[in-house]
Amino acid sequence: MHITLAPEHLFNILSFPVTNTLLMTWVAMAMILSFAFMASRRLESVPRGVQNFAEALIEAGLDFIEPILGSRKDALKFFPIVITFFLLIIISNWLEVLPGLGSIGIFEEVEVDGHQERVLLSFLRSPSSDLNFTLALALISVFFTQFSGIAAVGFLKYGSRYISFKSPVDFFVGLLELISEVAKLISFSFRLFGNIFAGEVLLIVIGVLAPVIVPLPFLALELFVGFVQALVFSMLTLVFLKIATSSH
Amino acid sequence: MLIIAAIQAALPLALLGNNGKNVQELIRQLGIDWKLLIAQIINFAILFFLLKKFLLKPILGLLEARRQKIEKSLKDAERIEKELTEIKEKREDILKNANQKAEEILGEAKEIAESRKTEIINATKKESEKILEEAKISIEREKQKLVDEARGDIAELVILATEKIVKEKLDEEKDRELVKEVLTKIES
Repeated sequence: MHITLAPEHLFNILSFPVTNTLLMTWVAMAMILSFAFMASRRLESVPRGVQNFAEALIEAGLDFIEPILGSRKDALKFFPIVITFFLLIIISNWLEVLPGLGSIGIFEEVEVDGHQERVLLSFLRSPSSDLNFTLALALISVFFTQFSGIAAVGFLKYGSRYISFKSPVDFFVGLLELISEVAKLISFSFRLFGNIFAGEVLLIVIGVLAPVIVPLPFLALELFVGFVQALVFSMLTLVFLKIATSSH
Repeated sequence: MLIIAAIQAALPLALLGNNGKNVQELIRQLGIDWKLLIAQIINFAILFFLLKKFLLKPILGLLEARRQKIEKSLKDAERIEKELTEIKEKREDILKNANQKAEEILGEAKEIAESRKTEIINATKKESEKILEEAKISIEREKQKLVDEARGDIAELVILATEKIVKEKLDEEKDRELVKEVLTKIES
């Protein structure tokens, strides 16, 4: 067993390193986009099949976030980013339970703890178990929130939340807010990464110890964890957006 | 296992030490690579815009259109129902009015007929009375005429008879007595 925090490097495209997680991100994107194309290829006023499912999903999502944001207009404005987060993360998370995970790959000689070892480089690894992926999502979430806040309440007013000389208390509160934004980055990325990476390791270990039947409840658990993490990420983004865009 | 070793080695150093080299080591151990990071950000951006363009925009448009359609249908249904009630009310009103008018007309017609009837009856009565009166007068006149004629005839007859008697043989005394008797008879 060879488990690393970093994703395994598979090959290069024009000196650009392609890792297994990047590959799986593309797979997840392809899955989501093919669903999107299938749903909206022939739109009918009386929905059927995939279109019906997509409509149900979108309506449920909108109805879910509307009471949080308080208005239909805001809900429509922030729905695209939230649903993109949710779909990408949940598909990424669920790729974790794909059969063959951690076992399909190529053997390669790597240096481990000072000596050469022959290890399996897996092709399949959930994107969420790569810190690059989760950090990228966290960066997008935090920066999108900041820009939405500036767009909603104005640059100076929004900036005064972080840098304020009105009173010493305000000044320190602003500093704390600034630190909390950085903390958000870390909490967003490490929460998702930690959950899914741990789940992946758990599945690999269980798979090695008892390959049949026993992993089933763990697979179910990981499906649930994957859903919860996707929900948590998108809901936190939503709540931060709400806080940033409301002029309190 | 490498993971435990990595965390054991990297975390305290990164958190406690302010050495840039340790932070770099942590980042390397975590597998953070700016090239991959940017690639993932671009991936997300692509997914976001494609989803927005190909899934959300058309379906949200469709949902909105459907919502408006349903709203319009409901409004239309309400309007139609209202109109229907109005029409019903109007129809009832018209019917009621028509009934009332018909009754009025009938009443008037009856009245007119009644008055005509009495008029005609009165006129007829008057006419018949007049005719009766005229008939009476004419009968009376005829009777008078007859009486007069009869009186004339009788007088003539009397004179003729008298003459006959006188021609036969009559003395003065007898003549006088006779005339007296005749006159008395006539007067009575």
